[in-house]
Formats: sequence, structure tokens, C-alpha cells
Amino acid sequence: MLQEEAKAALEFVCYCARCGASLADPRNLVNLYSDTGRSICFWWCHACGAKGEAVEVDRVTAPHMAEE
Amino acid sequence: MLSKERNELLTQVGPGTPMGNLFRRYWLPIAAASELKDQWTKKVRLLGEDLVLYRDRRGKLGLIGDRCAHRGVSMTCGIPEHNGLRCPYHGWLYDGDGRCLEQPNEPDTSTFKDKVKIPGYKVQELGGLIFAYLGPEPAPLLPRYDLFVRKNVVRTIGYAVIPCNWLQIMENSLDPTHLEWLHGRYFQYVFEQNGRPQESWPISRHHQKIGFDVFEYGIIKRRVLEGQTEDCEDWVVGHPVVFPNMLRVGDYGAHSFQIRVPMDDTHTYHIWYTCFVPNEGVQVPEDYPISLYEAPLKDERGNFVTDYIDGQDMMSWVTQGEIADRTTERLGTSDKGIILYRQLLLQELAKVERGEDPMCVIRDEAKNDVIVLPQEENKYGVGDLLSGIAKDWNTRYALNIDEIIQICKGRMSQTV
Repeated sequence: MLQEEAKAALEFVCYCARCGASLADPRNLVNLYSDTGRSICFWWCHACGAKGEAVEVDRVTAPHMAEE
Repeated sequence: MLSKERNELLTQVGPGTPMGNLFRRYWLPIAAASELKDQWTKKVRLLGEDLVLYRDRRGKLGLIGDRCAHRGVSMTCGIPEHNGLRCPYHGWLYDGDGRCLEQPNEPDTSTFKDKVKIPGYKVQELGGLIFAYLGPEPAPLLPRYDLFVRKNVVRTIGYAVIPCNWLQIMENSLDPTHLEWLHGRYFQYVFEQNGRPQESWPISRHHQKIGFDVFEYGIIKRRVLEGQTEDCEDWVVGHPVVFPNMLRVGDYGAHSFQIRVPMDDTHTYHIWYTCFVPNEGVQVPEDYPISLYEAPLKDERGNFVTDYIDGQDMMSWVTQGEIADRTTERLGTSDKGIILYRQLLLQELAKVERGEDPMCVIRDEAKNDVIVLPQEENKYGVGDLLSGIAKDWNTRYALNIDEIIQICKGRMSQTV
């Protein structure tokens, strides 16, 4: 992933998934890292303490298809 | 990768900054006690403030602002008195709280001195170190972590002023895999250049697994190296990063703290505090002195000194830049410990904002008799790995390192 793409991925998470508070304030953590080529946003909410990881889904796959 | 604003919030420690406020909740080491045996003052830069540590004629320690309120002369050049430190320029005298007690050339009836105050902070001595507290009252207890109070050990204190921000130094301690590269493969490369055999070097095995757990005093780091299983001490016990700025590391023969004290945003006072543990049944001579030494960053030609473990670490910290630019970093899965540490910093910072004590602020006397920290002893399955290579890490600069090794092996207890 290019630097500009990584920066865009960093902005993927904007709000806490639990309380809905904005994560824009730097006292929240939004930290990007890569796992096997996928960009993952780790986030932690200063307002309610919730944390999680978010991945932008760009392709839907079903690796274990039912047998015909 | 972080935003610029978040990087600034995490790295800036000056007065009034959120991270500076967090650090002001802790007792921070600023000197070895032995430094004030042969001199009366020591200039100290701490959390963006210029201060002077001094000992008055009664032997009492004080820590006050370095500039006299009168004309700004450095109090490091001051004259120790019975009850404080006197400015060398016009004789203004300050006590340990920074209160001006005398202004010899003002009229006897003047109350001007009562309106003059410079910063003054609490100091305490423990385990051969002098600690300062710059935060709000009431001050918490000075934590009695096990190595500071342990008996029958030989202590050494190494130090360096490192020209970079504190956070990149701490993040190194949440990054276990650098071991196999920086202190493994890179060390072998240094050996190659120095004509030293490479094959016997024991710390270049590949990491199979790393793990991190938050516990009462910080984060415990765990690892499984190639050839080990999950029942090894490196995984079952691990060793902690003590929040917010201390690493505990060691083996059977040596237990050590690495303490990172932010002087300002671009300088860190680093202490390597080591307790050498004698063999079973060996008694360390009573009052054996604590050696103090500087661990060099560069040689006389300005090149990084990279033929010892801590010199390699310092090279890695400093070359990231004065303040690592986390807006361009590219973290992977092996960096999850770093992300956990950043989250813990922000979490504890939020507690300070709410008026609560953050992690590792101790106020319960009963809890503070001795704070025992977990640490694996059978390091990488080699046992006395670190103490066995005492001359490949910072302790090699202790002038008495050979004697310490002999004492701990029980070969010098009669002669010292």
C-alpha cells in the first residue's frame, strides 16, 4: 500500500462503535497497521474506553463453499 | 501510523502538556546518590524544566529552579548553605521549596523576599538513586520496586543522555522481535567486522510467538523462540514494562531496570540499574559500593558504538530522528505491543484528566513494602545468559565489572 493510501486508511475510522463519540480528538487512539497486506485500524475511545479494530472490506470471498 | 496531532500529544512532555501532566504523577530518577558525594550541585533538565539538584550543609537534598529570580544566574553555580542554596551573584538564598529566604543587599525592613519564589520540588533517595516529584500534592509514595530494596546483591548504575524523544525508546521495549535482528544478526555482522567468532552468539534465534498482557504495573512481554515451547519461562513468566517508563529485564545472575526519564521533547536521561545476584550461599561484602558509569553513544570519531547491546539500542533510537515521525511509519503485526502501549498511555492520561491516579501511582504503605515484579530467570533457555555476557552490554563500562563477577561467583568474598 502506498503512503497516500495508508493515510486514507487511517481516516477510515471516525466514530466509536459503542458510544458514537468522534475519534478525531488526539486523546483517542486511531493507529494503522498491516496484517498480511490488509490495513487495519486499531481504535480506542477516550470517552467510553471501548476499543476495536476496523478493516475496510473491498472484496467479499467465501473460502469454504458448500459441496455440490 | 498515527496522525501528526496524536504523535505530538504522545511525545510532548513540557509543562502544561497532557503527557507532561501524566509524567508529573510519578517519582522520576534524576541522579545517582553518589553524584552528590563529591559535588554540591548537579544541573538537571526534567520534563522541559531547568533545575538544580543540591545538597545543603546539613546534608539535605533539594531540587529548585536553576535560574535565580533576581537576574537569572544559574543556581548550579550556587553556594551551599546550612538551609539552602545561595546565588553566587548577589547572595539571594533559597530553600528546598524555592522560597527566597534572604536578599542581603535589600533593606532590613524589606518584605520583597517574601514575594519571590522559584520552583521547588520534592526529592527522595532509594537504592542509590535520587528521585524527584514534580506533580500536584499530595505526593504519592516512592514505589519500592524489588530491585531498589533487594538485599545481598551488587548494584551498578549506568547512564546516558540520549538525544531523542522518550517514546521511541520506550517503544523499543514493546518490540521483542528486534532482539533477533539488532542484537542477533546485526551483532554477528559487527563480530564479522571485528574478527570475532560469530557462531557462539546465543541470541539470534527466530521468534515463533510474542504476546503482551496488561497487569497491575504495566505490560508483561512474552516470547517463544525457535526451539522453545510455551512452557518456557520466556512465555510463562515473561518480563514487564513497568508503566510508564521502565523496562525490567534479566536472568538468573543479573536483574536490571532500564529507566527512561524525559528531559524534554528531544532528550532522554537513560538509566541502566543492575543488580548482580550472587551464586547460592555467597554473601556480598556489606556496603560494597554502587558503581556509576556512562554508557557511550558514540566514539571519539563520532561513530555509534555498536559492539555492545545497549549501544545498538541507542543507535536505533537516535537514528529515528529527534522525535520519530509516526505519520510515515508502517507497522505490522509484530508491532502490536507498541500499539497496546500507546493505548495504555492514552488510557492512563484520561484518568489524570478525570482527577484519578494513573497506573503505578502508589499511596498504600502496606502495598509498598516491596513491590515484586515478575521476570523470567532462565533466559531463552540459557539460564545466566545476560550475566554471562556482562561484557557485551552496558555493564562492561563499570570499572569493577571483573571484580563484581568474581564476587558473585564467590571467589572474592574473603578478600574484599
